[in-house]
Amino acid sequence: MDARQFRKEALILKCIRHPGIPVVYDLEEDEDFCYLIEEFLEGDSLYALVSDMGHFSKAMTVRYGIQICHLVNILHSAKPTPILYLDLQPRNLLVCGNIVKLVDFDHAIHLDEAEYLTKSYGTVGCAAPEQYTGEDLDERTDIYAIGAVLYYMLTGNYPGKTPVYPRALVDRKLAKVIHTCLKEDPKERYESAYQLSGELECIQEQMLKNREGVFGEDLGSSLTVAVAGAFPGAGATHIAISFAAYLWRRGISSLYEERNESDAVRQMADCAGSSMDRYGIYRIHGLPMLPFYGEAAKLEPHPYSVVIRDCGASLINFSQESADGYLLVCGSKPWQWRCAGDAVQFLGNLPGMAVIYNQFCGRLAVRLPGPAGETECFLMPDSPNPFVHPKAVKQVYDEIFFSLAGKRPGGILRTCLTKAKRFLSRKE
Amino acid sequence: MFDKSKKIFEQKRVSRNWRTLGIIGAGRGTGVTHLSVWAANYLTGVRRGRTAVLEWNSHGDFMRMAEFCGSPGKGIPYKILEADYYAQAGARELAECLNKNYRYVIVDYGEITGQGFADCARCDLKVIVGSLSEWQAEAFLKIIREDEKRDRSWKYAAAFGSEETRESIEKSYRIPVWRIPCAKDAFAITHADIIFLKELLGD
Repeated sequence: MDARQFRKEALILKCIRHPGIPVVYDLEEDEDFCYLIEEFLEGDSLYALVSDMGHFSKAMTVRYGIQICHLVNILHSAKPTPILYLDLQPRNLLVCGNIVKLVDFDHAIHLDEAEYLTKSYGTVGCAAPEQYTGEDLDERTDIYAIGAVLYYMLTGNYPGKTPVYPRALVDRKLAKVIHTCLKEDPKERYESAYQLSGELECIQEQMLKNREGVFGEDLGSSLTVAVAGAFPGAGATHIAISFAAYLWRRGISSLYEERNESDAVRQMADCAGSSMDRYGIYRIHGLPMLPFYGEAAKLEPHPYSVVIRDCGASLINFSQESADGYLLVCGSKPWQWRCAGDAVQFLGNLPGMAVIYNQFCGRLAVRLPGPAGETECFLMPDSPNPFVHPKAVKQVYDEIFFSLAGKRPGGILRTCLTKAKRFLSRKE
Repeated sequence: MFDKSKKIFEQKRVSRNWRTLGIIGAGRGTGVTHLSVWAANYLTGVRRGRTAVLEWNSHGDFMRMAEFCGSPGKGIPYKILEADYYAQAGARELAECLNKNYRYVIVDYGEITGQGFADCARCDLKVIVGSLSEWQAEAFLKIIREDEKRDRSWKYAAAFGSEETRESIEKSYRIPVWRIPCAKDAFAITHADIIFLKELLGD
């Protein structure tokens, strides 16, 4: 890159002020090099996150997609001349906390320069067809790239000439939106990032209505859930990680917080080769995880709105936690029932507490002794990997989350368990 | 390929498996006690290992700290945050700590003396703290020159003095000299402190 281009990048960045775009502090030059001094951004690129997770959920894709559209729209609405980014790709999008930031503006140009462009650059897989053929570039060139990034987030691959939409991952409406972005003829694409953002917002609203994605900001604002096991080995850590990972994949800004001495997060971070950020948080398979720190550690407070606190098997710490909801993990095997009963009795009427019978077996489920009173119960099927959620597990987590967030209209599993309890009490 | 990865694993294991850390100063006022207390708070607060800090010198800093914190009495270890401090300790206290279930034992040897240096050499990990200020650098250089055959368990660090001096020592003697960053409060471990201490103590 020559000095002229470098200066151009600095000038473009200088005229935009947005939390999603890095601030330029200074431009320095010496005999050999140019230096652009920018705001330090700490986060993972979309490329790294997708590589780690395989692909994003529909809810996460839509959530990040809307943010990307807003960023591109800001560039396209720049005054006096709109800015074209022209190299939108997963490596140039950083996820900081739960906010997408756009970096690397070296290919960005003003719209009025587009017609004089002799050479065009882009990233294979994300660049629009007109960037290859040398035809006129405009805002719709960036729309194509947004479509490619949406496709990449959803499937983990770049769209080829004829994108394939796996049924399990994409619904019709979202596929249609991506398909429109990826049209070869720019005239057939969305006119603006604003229009595209509107389409994605409609899908998000529909998902909220259908409870497909529990990712609305209003549902997830400042919710702390404490999780503990009725006995060591009941699966509190597994459930806490799995629940946090589930919410994270649903697009909620969730954090797993270790509140016990198991050292599980550090061990996992060692295995995954993850390093901590300024909040002391490790990202493992995309999920932000905060290990247990002592009093001496003075780290910045984290920005996550939903926190799943793993209290291990310490019922005393669990009952003393200041949380919005409490999940007691019990074993569902007959030889574990007494422990469950004792734990529930010890905790008394902890407000907002629910019991999870972990690794429940269908044949034993109806004989579970269910805790007395108003305590809610959930039956959690076995799932060996806390970062992978089979459909049955997802349903239970949806039930739990809606119950905790106070939005739950009533669940099938709860109804089943209530019936089972009634049946048992009649028998007695 | 297999051998290479095994070697890396072995190296990592060696650096993580230390238990005793000896910190000794090339002169008075180089920051040995500060580094000892700082490291102890890192090991307890961040690494979550039970840690004891022994004052194996006659400066009396730990006694004064005990008085300030209202310690239980002479000869009894006291706790600040989560680390245990042993004032005016020696071989007996070190043996006692090694018999207890401390994950880490830090020994503050104060300034270098003949016996202190020999005792420090017995620790798994050793840090020689010097000062690169013009009026103190000679003492540090003398230590570095004395023995050029020290293994990698000996680390050299300095909090004060110019960066040019530090770099020139590194070049001349082909040893890394760690720059101890300014940490105002040895009892508060920030993200920047974690990055430095993780590198210095191995992780």
